[in-house]
Amino acid sequence: MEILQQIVNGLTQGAIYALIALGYTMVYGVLRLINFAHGDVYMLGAFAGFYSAAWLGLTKRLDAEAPVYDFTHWLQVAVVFFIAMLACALVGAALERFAYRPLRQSPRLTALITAIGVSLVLENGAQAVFSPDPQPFPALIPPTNLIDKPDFNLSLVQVTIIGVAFLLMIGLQFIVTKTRMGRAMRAVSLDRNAASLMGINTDVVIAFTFALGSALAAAGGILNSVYQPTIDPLMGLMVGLKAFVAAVLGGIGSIPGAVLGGLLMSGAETAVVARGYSEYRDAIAFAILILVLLLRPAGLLGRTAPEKV
Amino acid sequence: MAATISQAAPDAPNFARLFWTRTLPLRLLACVASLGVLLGLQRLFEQRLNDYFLQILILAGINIILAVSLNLINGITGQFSLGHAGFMAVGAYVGGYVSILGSQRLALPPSLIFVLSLLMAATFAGIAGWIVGLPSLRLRGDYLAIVTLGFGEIIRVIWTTVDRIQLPRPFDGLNSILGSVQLGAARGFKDIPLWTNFAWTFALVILCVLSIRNLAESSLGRSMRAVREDEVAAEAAGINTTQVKVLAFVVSSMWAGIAGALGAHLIQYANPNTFNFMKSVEIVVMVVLGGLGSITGCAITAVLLKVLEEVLRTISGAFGVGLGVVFFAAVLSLPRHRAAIAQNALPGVTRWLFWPLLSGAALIFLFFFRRDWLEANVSSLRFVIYGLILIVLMLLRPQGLMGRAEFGWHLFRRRAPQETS
Repeated sequence: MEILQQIVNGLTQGAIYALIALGYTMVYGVLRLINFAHGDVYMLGAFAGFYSAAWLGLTKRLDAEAPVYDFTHWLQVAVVFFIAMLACALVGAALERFAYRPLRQSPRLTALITAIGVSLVLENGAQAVFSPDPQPFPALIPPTNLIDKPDFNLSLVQVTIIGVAFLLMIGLQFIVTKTRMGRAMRAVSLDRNAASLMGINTDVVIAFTFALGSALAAAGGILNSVYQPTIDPLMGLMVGLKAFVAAVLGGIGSIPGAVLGGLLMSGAETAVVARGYSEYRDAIAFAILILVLLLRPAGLLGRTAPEKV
Repeated sequence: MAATISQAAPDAPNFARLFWTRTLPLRLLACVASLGVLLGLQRLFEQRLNDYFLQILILAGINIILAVSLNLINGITGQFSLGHAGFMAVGAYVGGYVSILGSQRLALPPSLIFVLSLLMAATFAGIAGWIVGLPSLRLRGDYLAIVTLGFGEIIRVIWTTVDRIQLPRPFDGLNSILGSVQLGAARGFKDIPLWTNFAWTFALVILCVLSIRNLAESSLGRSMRAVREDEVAAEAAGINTTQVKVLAFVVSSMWAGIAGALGAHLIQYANPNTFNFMKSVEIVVMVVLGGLGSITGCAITAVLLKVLEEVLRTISGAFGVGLGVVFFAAVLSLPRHRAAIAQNALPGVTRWLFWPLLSGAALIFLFFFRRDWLEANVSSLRFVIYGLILIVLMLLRPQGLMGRAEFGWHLFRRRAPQETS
């Protein structure tokens, strides 16, 4: 049962990584840019959730006896998600418009350095605006255990996280494969110039991609803060890097790859922690990254493209 | 085919002839003179300058070593490394370790032990750079950036877990030689002797700048530039690109190690968490600001950034810097609005000055009406300004202050040749 517990823990964390990794992979798909600031958008999502929960009066800590079937509470939680995702979608689109769009024609390293700059501004600006100290995140989901055995427990929080994350991923899959905008996104990621010649407004598509990825990151931010209920302005740094590693592991540019990568990453992390090497928890991500790039640079589900001269 | 190529290759350079040149006495004289000047300045500064300024001066020197060495990878070879702080950490720890152990075991004057520990720091940082570089330099651009970042973090995590060096079973005979120096894990490495001073630092700064300039202007340096311009073409022209990149990486990390050791012997303490991603980014800011590929540009911005760091400790300093950034952004963005202004003055000027005026107004508002808020957050605002500098620079002048040009006497000697012709 011990192993089953670890699998559930890994799945919960992995679902969150996967949500963030999706944003990296989609932006990389359309722009070939590592959006360094994506982890900070995730942090902003958590803060947006924090303030909108406070605005809706969801600050009281729920105890284990809190009613699980309280409809208005769930509605409020949904509103919190909606506000945070909307806010981050706007932030993402604004970042694209003001920081990355002017650099569309410059070398990729220029855009990467800009992304590092944006990340510095967001992180440290958030420290100045929100205070650098960790703050307790309100319990949006009642801490009820659905299965409560001495060696295995499954909480409502974990089920909700996995459920919401996979619902969002299915929604994303629908947008990408079934809608006009999704088709345009796929066309842009295949060949931006050709897509533009076919009459696709690439600026709108790229802005939409940023907005979509940022909204998913915001959802990930709230879910993670529900799971580990403290938030601080630097929370996005490590998680963002790990989610990036997850995206590379799965094959950057591939949407199912990002999900797979997120789950595998968190599986490896959970295994390392369960073995008792928790101080190496952050190092394992980079070790995986290095191995992947050496053995299969295109990632597990990525396509290998030959270098053109 | 192979035989013709090897015949066409130039003969091995005659090192003896290269060494015994006519300029040799002059060079030796320059070395002796600069050492004398450094020692004299050292005397003077210790008497006249207070400790605070002297420390800033030395830290600025260490910054120069860091920036110039990173420039070898990021600017001259065109690879993007984000893990320079990791190699600093290796240098700081190895240097501190050798110094402490050396003072316990060896009956040598401190300066010789210091030379030994700097050499060891360089060696180990170089080995670390080789281990990191060999696999990861097969990658390009942004992937390389992330991998070097990852290696830097791994190096940092390793130091946070090592309390003392204890080799496992088959090598445990070496433990008595390695001694028991407390590395302190996450608490930090304490009690490193205070051996770094002005003369040591700037002698090494001169050595670093000269060695990297000479390397960059040698045939190897031309290979590095070729790799920067077009890796595929460089490979097609017969350059062993992996070897060239690894060499640049190793030399660069050796100097980072020396800088780390100098820093550790200055503040007598090394904490793994000071060698984090932010430190690497700070060095990258120096290089990018100075101009990727310009050694003197990097050296200038390394000093500038150290001064900036001190200026930004006060609110009025930060305000001035903020206004300066806005002003330069306005000046730099003028060329792209010039056509619009010439065509239709008022809308053109409005478009040009919209962002500078808006951000200037925001700054003035914050400075005069939200002063206590600014004062409470000076330390985070410093990095906000770094970030803004990076963004503004990339948007308006991606080649940095100097571009690839070097600062030197030729700038003063040349008398506007365009006007005469």
